[in-house]
Amino acid sequence: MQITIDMDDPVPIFSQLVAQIKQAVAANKVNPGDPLPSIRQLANDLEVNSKTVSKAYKLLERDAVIQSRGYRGTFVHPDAKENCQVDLKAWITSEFEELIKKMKEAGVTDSEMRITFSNVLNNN
Amino acid sequence: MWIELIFFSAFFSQIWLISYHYPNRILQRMDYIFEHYPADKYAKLYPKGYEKTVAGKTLYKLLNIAFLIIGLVIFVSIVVAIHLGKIQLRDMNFVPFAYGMLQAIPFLLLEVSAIKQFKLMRSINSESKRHADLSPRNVFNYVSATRLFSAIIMFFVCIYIMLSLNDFHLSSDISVLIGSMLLCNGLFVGLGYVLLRGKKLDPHQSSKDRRIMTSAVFRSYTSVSILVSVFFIINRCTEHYSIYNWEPIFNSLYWQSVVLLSTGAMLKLTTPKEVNFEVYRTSIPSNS
Repeated sequence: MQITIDMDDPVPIFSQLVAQIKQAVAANKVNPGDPLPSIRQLANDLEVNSKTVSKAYKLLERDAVIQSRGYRGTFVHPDAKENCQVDLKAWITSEFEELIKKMKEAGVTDSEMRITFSNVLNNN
Repeated sequence: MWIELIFFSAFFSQIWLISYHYPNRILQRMDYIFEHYPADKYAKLYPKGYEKTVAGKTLYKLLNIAFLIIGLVIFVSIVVAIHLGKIQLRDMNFVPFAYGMLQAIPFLLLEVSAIKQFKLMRSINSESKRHADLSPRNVFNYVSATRLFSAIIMFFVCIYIMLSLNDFHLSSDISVLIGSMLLCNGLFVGLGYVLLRGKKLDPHQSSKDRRIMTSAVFRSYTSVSILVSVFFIINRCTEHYSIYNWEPIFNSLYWQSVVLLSTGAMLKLTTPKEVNFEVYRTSIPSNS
């Protein structure tokens, strides 16, 4: 199974990686429990910074699409197929839309929302 | 006299194999590539330009012809000198080795040139799309456990035999031999690690070809590592049992085996007909 990234694509490289690995899982090209290449190997093969691959792997781990097993390496999560269908970006957008709608109904201004959001984010 | 005849056959075989047979096979392979994958359609294959590549081929050919002539001159001189009784076979033990080093020069230049070519390929590569395999590479994907562990076991067996023949006394010559073995095997481990985990040497190479090439290189490394251990055991045995007349024969056979198991194995395992040269095509025509 091969993945391809396009350096000229406006989509960030880590997002391309996340999308392609999720697509590979959804299309059964990689199966639960299958080992994945190390961050260094993938970064060297794609000639990108290892931090970029690390970021993609962290996001995939957060979404429970892959799991890290210490020195043994990184593997496809047992529930990867179900988890890769969950679109966290779409979920967070709908949650925020609902919250912002409520705030606006209550008369909260945009700048008040921005300041509060930034304060809460910084304090957590 | 029969031992001299064995030496003459071994040394002649060394001259023929390393300075004629394998260079010819490499030149034939170059010609095949030049003919079937011309520079106008496969420009990525010639980062230095076609003329410079042909000049490199000519230099390689001329060097091998020169070393072939030198080899034949040395061979005739030895035959005459031994026949006239001016020298003895035991005085010749350095000749196959020293001549072997000379024979290795064109192969070394070829390797250096290939590395430079790949470096240039990477620097002028303007393709925005990059590919990677979604499976981890590990050493046992390319070489069998039996083969790898045989090389490791042979390394320790060799050290044990060398020490036992010297009453387990670590003399300076034994230290040098162990040091050279460590250096040689360390080099193989380092190069193997780079192949396995490092960046692709050839940016255009398909993943299938990379797998085949890596596998061939690992097989060659393990074979040569085993051979080095065997050679060192024989080297110490000839000294210990005072069979000095056999040493030049073993030295000559050692060089031939090294080339047979490295260049020979690479030529056998990687055939140009199976290589995907389409990745080097300048512009891939559309299907419509």
